[in-house]
Amino acid sequence: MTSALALARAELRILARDRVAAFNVVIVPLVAAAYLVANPPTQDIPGPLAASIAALLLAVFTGAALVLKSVMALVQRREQHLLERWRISGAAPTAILAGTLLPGALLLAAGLAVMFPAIAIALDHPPAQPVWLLLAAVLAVLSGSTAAIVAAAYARTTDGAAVVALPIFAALFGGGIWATVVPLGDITWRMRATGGGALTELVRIGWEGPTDGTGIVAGATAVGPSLLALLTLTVVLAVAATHTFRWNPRH
Amino acid sequence: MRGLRCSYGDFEAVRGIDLRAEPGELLAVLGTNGAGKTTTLEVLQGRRPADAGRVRVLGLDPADQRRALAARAGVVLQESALPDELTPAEFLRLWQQMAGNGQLTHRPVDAQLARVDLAHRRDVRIGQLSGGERRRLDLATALSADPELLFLDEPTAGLDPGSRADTWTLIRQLLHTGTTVVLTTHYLEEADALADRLAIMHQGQVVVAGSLADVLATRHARIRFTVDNDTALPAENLIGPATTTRQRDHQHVEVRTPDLVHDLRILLAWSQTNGIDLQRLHASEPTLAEVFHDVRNTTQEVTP
Repeated sequence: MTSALALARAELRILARDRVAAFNVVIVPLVAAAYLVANPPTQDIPGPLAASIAALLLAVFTGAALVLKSVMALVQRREQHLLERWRISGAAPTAILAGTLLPGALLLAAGLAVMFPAIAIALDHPPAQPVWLLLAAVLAVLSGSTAAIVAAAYARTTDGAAVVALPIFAALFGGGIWATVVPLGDITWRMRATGGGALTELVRIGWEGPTDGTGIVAGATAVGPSLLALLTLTVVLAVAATHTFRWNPRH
Repeated sequence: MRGLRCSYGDFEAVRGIDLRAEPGELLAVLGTNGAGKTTTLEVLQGRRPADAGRVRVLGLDPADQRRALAARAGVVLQESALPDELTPAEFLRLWQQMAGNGQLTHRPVDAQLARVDLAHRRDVRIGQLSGGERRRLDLATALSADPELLFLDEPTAGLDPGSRADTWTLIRQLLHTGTTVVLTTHYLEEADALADRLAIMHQGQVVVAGSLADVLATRHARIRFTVDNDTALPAENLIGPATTTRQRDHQHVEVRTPDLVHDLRILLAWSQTNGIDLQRLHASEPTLAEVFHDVRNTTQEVTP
């Protein structure tokens, strides 16, 4: 734990010293949130639109702030032989990966912490059961980070990181759109299997409330399929990661 | 280490090698590019598993006890693995938190930097350090917790002569205090100056191994001179075997001998008696460079 936190702090310090990255990470979400609040859609907004915007934002943030950032970080640190360096320190492999990936997770969390309230304020439509938004964020971090570890095995250079992250981004965003254009009760297992579809379903349940019933128990029942899909996806990706991940660019 | 074998796909990088370093000694592993040195070090450090063979480092199996080994062994990687955006002081503090998960006792950061003459660069971004300074920071990192065993993979590559001399002095101090060192280097003079024992690898095998004296004893000394073409050389039974290269009006002679002083005396007496001028006379004991070049040109195994 000490190793992971120390490494995460160092990664955040490195990120903060990269002015372009720091600008993209901090300023862009704030400006987007401010714009949304200052210029709310003027049409009569039905409830699902707020959920749809939130779901697609989660997909975009997971793809860009978490997955792309994490794949690039892993590939760059491997190219720099820093992953090897941390391995010879005796730190546990999971601690090294967690420390390297934690900044991406924090960026995602920070982006959502800014954007979700902005959506609620701008559209005057607060989420019905916010706990499922929190669950969606946690599962986005778990599945997105694991996907990033798998993808990093297939990129030899930092330039290649964007290429290998693209299919994940497509699954998140494409699956997200797919699951927003149907009624909440019509989301299928195929949609959930993209990852983006399951995250979207969680966000929609969190924002719109479950279709059957109104209480938290009804919500918990409704999120079951998405939860199962995302956990299964994460486990499959984790198994793949243990077989494919490379610490050394020579290997 | 006995019978170590490692492959990358179909390519067998290390083909059944034996190596042993005694406590407190420096073992130099030399070799041509692609000889398998770095792969061997990776196995010794627990960074990759062996495909076959038995490996023990400080009594530990590096593949299964990597973390326990990391607490007792320092490593200077071949590549200077450092984050450009941090400063040396920040990086060493991070290393202390990473290494041994904060359980090890490390030297203070400023003392570590002073030890490798980097105290004045403690707050400069690592990306702004010279190649030599980065290499010294690598060394400071490896020495952070005063390891019992130190792996040095080409530690003086890119250093200027002064920095290299300082590094040699530091390595000698470590040896004096009982640290065991496993060194790979392309600088033969470095192995000559520091090694208690050495192994020369070629194409995945240890071709020559033993103490420096043992290794050099497998080669004969060399006497070279130039004489006129019509000069008859001393009888073959008086000196070692000679090879001659004839040019227009003179011949270059090279004598290989196990007893340099004896053969030199014979030659000097012969030249004086016969009034022969030994031009460009050069006598030398066998050198590590000669051994190394022989290994490159032939792959015959030499018993230590």
